[in-house]
Amino acid sequence: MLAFLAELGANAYAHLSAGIGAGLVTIGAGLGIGRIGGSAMEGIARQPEAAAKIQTAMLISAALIEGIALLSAVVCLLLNLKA
Amino acid sequence: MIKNSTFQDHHYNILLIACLACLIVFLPLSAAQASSGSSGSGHDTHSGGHKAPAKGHDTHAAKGHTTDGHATQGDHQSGAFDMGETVMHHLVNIETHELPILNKTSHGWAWKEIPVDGLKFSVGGIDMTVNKPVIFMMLGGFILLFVFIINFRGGKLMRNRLAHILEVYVLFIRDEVVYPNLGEEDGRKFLPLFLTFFFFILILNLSGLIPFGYSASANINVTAGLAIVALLVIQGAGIAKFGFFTHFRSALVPSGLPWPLLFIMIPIEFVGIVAKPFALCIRLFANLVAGHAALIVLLLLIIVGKSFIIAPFPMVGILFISTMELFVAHLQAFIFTILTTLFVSLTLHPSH
Repeated sequence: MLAFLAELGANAYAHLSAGIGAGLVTIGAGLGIGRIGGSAMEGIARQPEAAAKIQTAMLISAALIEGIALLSAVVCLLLNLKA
Repeated sequence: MIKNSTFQDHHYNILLIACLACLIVFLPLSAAQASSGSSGSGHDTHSGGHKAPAKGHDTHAAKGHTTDGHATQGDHQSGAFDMGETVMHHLVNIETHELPILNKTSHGWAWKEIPVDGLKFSVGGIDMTVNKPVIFMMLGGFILLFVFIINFRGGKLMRNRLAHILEVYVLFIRDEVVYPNLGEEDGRKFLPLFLTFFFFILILNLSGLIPFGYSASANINVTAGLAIVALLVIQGAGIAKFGFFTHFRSALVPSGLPWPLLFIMIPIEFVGIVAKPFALCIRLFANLVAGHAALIVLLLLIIVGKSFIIAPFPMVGILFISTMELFVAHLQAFIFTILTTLFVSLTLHPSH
């Protein structure tokens, strides 16, 4: 497959890496945000009166993960568009 | 000012229908604009970005006419319609702006595109040109000033719809964000700053969602400026409370460590100080850019599909993504505010 890519030109590797990177970013962010959401659901189900506080904390943690994920997504986008 | 609210439910229906009509009318036209290119703007700095897709579209049209659509392979070989280039141009273009005026170009009807970076000047080698983000930041700032000044006259809240909406936002930031994290005493000092952060970022985010608007927070320099303010506030709060040396000793030097570890820990803590605002900057920027890129790519699907028959499907997608963008605009303003609040709180109440 690498020989095939080499025939396509040097930029093909950049596009390939951008695609693989975007997939990895999705896996990581999905795992992280999924865990946060799941735990928040559980917490709210156990203690519905604390829902507002849990939601705020959930949003903050999700935003922290999302920030890293989007940074990587931007890197992938630049790899794809500028390569 | 409206004293008695007579806004009934059916008005919302009319508003919704009007919004949908705007969406359905304007968006295919803006998509057509993306492919048709502009003429006569006189800017050669962005010609590589803008003229190339236009030329590609021309060649495609010519080939489509001559060979009855059998030229798709050849089109891809010569780079007929460069989607990446068009998306990048729409994301990074800060020199021209589209106005809701239709004019006829050689490629068909297009929105009038005017240069907006006319006021060029630099201070000490730094480019201070008043370009599109600056203009929209000024607009947003003036709108905020106007809205708040007319609604809070004489220290009293006016009784109208807009003032009530503003009150909800202000009370939310005060009671859910600032006071629980900073305490009432410190919170009262910092509240104006955080409210300014929130409303400014909110109006920057939302201005990209109205037709012919532009989101200044989708430009990394704008978010970097906001993040630098946040950095100065986070460190300045500590310096003001503890003094310069005490603050940086507690911020940089963790207590209770054997001294050789300090050679590792001080650089790490320093990176931590810089990384917090950096993350704020990247988060806001990337969220906005990701939303706009998704919208543009969906719109360009109409052009890539080369048919108006597929236009309704991207339209539905755009409707959903625009609604999500409305949520993201509020969420990111909230996240920026609450994270800055948390960082200030960490500086003011060190754990050791």
